Amino acid sequence: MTPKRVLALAGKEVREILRDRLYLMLAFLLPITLLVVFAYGMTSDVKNVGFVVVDEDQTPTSRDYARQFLASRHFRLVASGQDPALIDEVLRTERARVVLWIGPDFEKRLLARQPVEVAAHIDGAVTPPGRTIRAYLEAINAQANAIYQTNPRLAQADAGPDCCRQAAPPVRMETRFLYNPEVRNIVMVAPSLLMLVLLLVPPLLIAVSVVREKESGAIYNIASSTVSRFEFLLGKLLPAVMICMINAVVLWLLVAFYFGVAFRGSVPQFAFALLLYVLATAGLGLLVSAAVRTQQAAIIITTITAMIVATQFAGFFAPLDTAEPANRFLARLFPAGYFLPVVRGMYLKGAGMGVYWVELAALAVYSGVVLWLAHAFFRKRTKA
Amino acid sequence: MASSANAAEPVVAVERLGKRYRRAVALQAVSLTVPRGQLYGLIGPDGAGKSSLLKAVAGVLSYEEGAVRVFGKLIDSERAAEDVKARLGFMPQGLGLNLYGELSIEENVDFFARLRLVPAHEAAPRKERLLAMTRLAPYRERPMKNLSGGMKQKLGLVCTLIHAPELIILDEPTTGVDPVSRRDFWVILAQLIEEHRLTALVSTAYLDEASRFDRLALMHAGRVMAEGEPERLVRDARARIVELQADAAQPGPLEQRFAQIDWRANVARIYVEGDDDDSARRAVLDVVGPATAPHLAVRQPELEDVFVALLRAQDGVAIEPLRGLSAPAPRHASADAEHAIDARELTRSFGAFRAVDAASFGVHYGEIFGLLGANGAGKTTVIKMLTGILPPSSGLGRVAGADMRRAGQAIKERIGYMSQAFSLYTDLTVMENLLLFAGVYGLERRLAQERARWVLALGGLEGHEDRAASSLPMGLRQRLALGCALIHQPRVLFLDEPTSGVDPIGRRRFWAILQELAREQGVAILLTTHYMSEAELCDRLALMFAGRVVADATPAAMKAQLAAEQGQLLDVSTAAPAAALAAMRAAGFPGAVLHGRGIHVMAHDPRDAQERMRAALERAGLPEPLVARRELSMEDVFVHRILALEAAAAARTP
Repeated sequence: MTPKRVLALAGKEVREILRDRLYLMLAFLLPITLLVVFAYGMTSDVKNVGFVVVDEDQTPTSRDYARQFLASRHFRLVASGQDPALIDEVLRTERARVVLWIGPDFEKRLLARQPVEVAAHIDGAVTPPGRTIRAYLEAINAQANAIYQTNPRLAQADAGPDCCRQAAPPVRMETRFLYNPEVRNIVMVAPSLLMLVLLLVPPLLIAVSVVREKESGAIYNIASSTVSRFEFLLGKLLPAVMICMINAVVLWLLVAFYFGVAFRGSVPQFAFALLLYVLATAGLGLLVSAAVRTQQAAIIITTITAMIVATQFAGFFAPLDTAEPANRFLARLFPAGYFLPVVRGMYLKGAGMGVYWVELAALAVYSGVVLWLAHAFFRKRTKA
Repeated sequence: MASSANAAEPVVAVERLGKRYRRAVALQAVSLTVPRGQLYGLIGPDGAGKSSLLKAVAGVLSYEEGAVRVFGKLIDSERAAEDVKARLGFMPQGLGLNLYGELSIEENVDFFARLRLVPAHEAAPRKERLLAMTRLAPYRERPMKNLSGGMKQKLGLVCTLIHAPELIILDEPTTGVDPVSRRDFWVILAQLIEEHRLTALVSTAYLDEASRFDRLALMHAGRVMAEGEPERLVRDARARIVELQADAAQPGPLEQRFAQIDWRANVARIYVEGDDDDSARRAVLDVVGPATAPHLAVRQPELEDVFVALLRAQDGVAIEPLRGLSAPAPRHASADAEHAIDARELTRSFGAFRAVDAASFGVHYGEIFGLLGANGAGKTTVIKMLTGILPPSSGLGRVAGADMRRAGQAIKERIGYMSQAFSLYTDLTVMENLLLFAGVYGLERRLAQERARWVLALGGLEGHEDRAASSLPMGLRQRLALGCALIHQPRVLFLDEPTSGVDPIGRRRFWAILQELAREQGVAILLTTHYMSEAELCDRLALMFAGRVVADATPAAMKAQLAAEQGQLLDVSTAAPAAALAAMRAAGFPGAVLHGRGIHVMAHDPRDAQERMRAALERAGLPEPLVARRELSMEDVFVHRILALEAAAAARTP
């Protein structure tokens, strides 16, 4: 290998990229756009959901029960009334997503310690927030129950806080979300998005830059010269890795400062983990470019593979340990599965390389294997 | 330079080479040898297998059968190919496509030098010499993507030569380049070969370039049809061309007797088999009568004639007779009553760049009008404006009676347009393509069927209705594209380089159809072409230069005007054309240009000019040339006019 030739190739590549506005946009705007769009799209925090109360009882106790829901930041009162016909109307016109129905005799039965039924109607046409809404409703209802069980009267507005404390059950569980005390969705999603964007962009950039030389015929400059396959691949890999590391840092800053997800790890260690991951995914791009001949094919294969792998085979929604063996095997074929625990652990929890050395070593080996495979598949003397 | 290598050993030896792409056969039992120091040509239409052969030699394409040896080394694996790559340079097909558009001329050259590990002290002087020779030096900062076709082609050559290879392989370096740039390119290449003892393997689709090669192979459908020195190929054809003044010719009886007649503007060129002037003359006189004897001349056939004859013999196809002026354009009583196309001061700017500058011309119904010009002269932009694809910056255009600015849609229904890249749907069959285009123009079903049958008959496409367009040979594909542009029977037809890459027989058929459309149906046809032999067939020509129309006349009038200005055309044959050209230019023949392997000079007093030439060449120590008077061709006119305009433009901007 001649470093001079690799430098000539990489230098040419950088010049071309800097002057090609379209490629430049693809290289630097696409990752940011993807991160921002997915970050907003995937966080399903439930806040200020339209809430309607249909109270057929109209007693202080029933009003107090309803007020407990509205006291949270999750729900916002849109309307209230006595007529059950309101339920259908507000849900259909999308004025509200939740209607709480309180039947007649709510107070009477409660004080008589008879079972009471209330109903929450959730707009089921919009499912994902619907589930979250149900969880919140049930939690608030359980809280209310705990109080009513000791003394229904005590829950009323005129009852003081002291009485409440007295009424607390003997074993009270307090749950805290570590690393994410406010249970903000973005904190859970952001590391996965770093994984996703850096699985998509490096292979896309590198495959497009190789394949467009195949399309134009510039690849023959290489094929008909004494440049070795390895030199050519390195000449493509180095600039792409450079660009993607710049991107990785920009994304990192965005997550930390724009989305406010606190970084708890060591900066050089996390940067090293990012570099290994980018090397592995960029190598994957080289592999794709050895196999395809048109830019369209390169773009479609890299994006679709990245989307499927990132969302289905990397532990995005559920940890890989609980996945089916077949899925787990597929996940091992892509670098995303190794990287996701690393980014979660290092970024959010502040763990060091010592904890994740197995995953990091796997990424390093992975890069080597992919590069070797790309080298094996790439031909200077082709069949067609 | 490896002077130790055995000089007698051929640089390239190809033996019974076979190559297929899945089921499609690209090369079949191809054999040829390229001796050291020669300019070797591969000539054939698109799809003949030229590129596959060149790539196999360059070591970038594997093959199944036979053997390819380069510098004596059998190229049968990637490893074997690597061993010779330091000694060769390969320029793939496509004008400047292998270069890097975002990089400047200099950066492109530097990149190739570094890629080839040329030491800086060697690369720098070599780069300067090559840039100076190709006259690219003043533009070294210009990004490649902003170069003209001719400049891209020369830059490609410089980049291929920067590591001083012994063998260069150039795949269609002149395709899509105008005649002036093409001529320039061949001169530079000839000089380089002479100076550096280079061996060059070059392919071309232009038959008229054949005479520039030391040795050549005529290729068709994956086979070599003939191989050898051009003179020998012509000699081996054992035939004569009998030229007959067109007004003395009798098309009917002649065509019955002779299978291959080429009707040019004022002469009929009849291909007569037999290796004897007298019997050829007699054979023609037997048909047209002895009285025409004074209007008749016997010549050696040109390579194109030989190639057509070979193709004819192989495929048994009939040659469409081409009639230049044999059927003059019908002039209506009110000849100038209405133009089919009327361009007035058409102008189009792209930013500060004026692509078309006040172009004015008119085309009558029934007329074939040729738009000529170098790459980037503005021809395609004119067509785009007249077809309503591109709005003009200023100026007026009327097409088929409608103002193209206001009646965009109406114009589109009255015109047919065939773009450079035959826009067919290659996955559809011939019939499906035709019916699709009929549907686009809103023809009802019965009419569409009827028109499709008419187009099939016109284009000779019968029997191919159910073939996928992608499986058609170039010639048929081109006629299908024409058919699609004709399906709604437009009164005006625009053709942008319609015959690029089509074999000579295919081109002849295509022109026969154009002539039928113009003469019998009264269709107005506007076309662009880089083939000067096709320019001869147009009724009228407009020559464009830097966005302006600089001449507008019939081919005959253009020739007559040049003859009046510059005199008689002399063809000078000599053993060392490059050196002779330099000597003649120095001796007061600034207009001397290389033409094939000879030199063309114009002079008012031929006898005096001949004397001065002899003297000049003698002083330069060159052998005595053979000088013959020739009729002017459109290529002479084109090259002369464009060179004069370029010189004037260069004088204005020092």
